[in-house]
Amino acid sequence: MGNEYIPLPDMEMGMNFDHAYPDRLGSICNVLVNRTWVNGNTPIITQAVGFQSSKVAKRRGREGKLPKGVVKIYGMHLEEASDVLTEIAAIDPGCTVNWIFNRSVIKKKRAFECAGDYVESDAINCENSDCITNHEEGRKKYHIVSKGPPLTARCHYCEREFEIVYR
Amino acid sequence: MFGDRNNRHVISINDFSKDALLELISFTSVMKSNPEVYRDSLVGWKAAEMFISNSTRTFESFREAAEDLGAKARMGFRSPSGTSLEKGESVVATGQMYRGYGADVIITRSPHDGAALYLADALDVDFETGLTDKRVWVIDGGTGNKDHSTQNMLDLYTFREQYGKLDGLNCLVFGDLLYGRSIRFVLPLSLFGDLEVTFLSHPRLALADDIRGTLTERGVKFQEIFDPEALPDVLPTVDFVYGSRNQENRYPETAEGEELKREVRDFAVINRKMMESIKPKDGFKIYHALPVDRKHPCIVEHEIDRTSYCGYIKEAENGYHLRKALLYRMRHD
Ligand SMILES: [Zn+2]
Repeated sequence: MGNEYIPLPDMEMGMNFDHAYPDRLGSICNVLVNRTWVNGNTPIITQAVGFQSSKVAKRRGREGKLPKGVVKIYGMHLEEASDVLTEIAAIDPGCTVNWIFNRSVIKKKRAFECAGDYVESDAINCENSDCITNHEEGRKKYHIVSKGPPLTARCHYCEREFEIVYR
Repeated sequence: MFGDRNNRHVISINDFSKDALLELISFTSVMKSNPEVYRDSLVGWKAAEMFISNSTRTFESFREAAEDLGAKARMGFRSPSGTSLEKGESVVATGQMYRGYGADVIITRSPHDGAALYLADALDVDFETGLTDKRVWVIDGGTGNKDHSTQNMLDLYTFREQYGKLDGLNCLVFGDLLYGRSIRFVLPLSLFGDLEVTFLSHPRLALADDIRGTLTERGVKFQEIFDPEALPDVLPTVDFVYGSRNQENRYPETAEGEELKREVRDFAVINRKMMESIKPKDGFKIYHALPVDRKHPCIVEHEIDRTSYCGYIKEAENGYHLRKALLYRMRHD
């Protein structure tokens, strides 16, 4: 069998998460894949890693360029402060969120700016090592105290406030 | 005292208003003087106790309180050894099991912050999503580094029994202020007004920021001192003293934690000689949540037990009465 490629459509409309930390791509994609989409229509979601980005380097406080992650959602828009965007903001607050319509970027924000005030997520760990959520499997809940930067969350269970590292 | 029919959990003392606490305290007095009237008031109820860290007084007093009101209270454990938690079962699964065996209320103690809320939340979700039609209420029996709601409630009850009021009290709180959960009674007590507190501790066991913040917000007059020599000067000025023994089991399990233990040991101890050298106010009492280690009393020498200043034996007894009242209200409100 030869190589098979599924050609990606041009993005007429959708969302592009750019300049994400490559090590957070998995968590971001999990959030997108595991959510319930309208009418059960999961859109095409792609992830890519490796393009060089000076923004990622800058976020890490470095000169030059570093590999970045990109996630694209085809044919769907997410709303600011929605559960999903809040969760992504808490996973990688510094990545860039682009809304695309008619092949153009119609809105661009940093993820932390898109956070709502509450999030349930398994991808975010409470900073308090004595917190019950670090000793039991299951639901973790956070209240977003400040969008920041840095994005600051308060654990629903132990009430510890902590910063989600922006860089 | 439980206004919300859909929420009778007891998770944190901060969830209770001044009025709710007063209601509970007054009801405890009524119940304490007429125990026979309430003898069968929990017949048909079952209580389970899940104590993931060790306890004697809280565990026993809850069990006796429940049984003396007619409930069954045999289910549970007072330390995790030998239970399925040691095999890695989750706290939630253990709670679900007790619910399956008919528990109406689960009293839990845990070394982990937020554990009581976590369990309550999980059991509520089971109910709300239709997985079960049985409601179970959770009571914090000492959770993590902050919460010990029923200890705080019984202390308020004890102060009111002794002084006839909860406003305008002046007290000295000393010992392990950082890891001690029981000293958090100052938070609900500050709701009653005109509270004055002197905190005395080793500098490394000073008051947690959140307590300091809340007291400041509420306009409480308080001072923090770090000199144990000041004890004899402060004692005659206060209505009561509240001690918190060093909570060594919660210190970090590191070389630094060991060093902390040695450094703070027996920092400030009240003994008979000290009490004989001063003239305390009328009705002066010494309180603390037992126990005290005879070798390292940290706060109060045992010789105080037999003086008129000893308030802590009665305080411990009141744990039984207050927990009875709480269980009663939980079912009948
Ligand atoms: Zn937490």
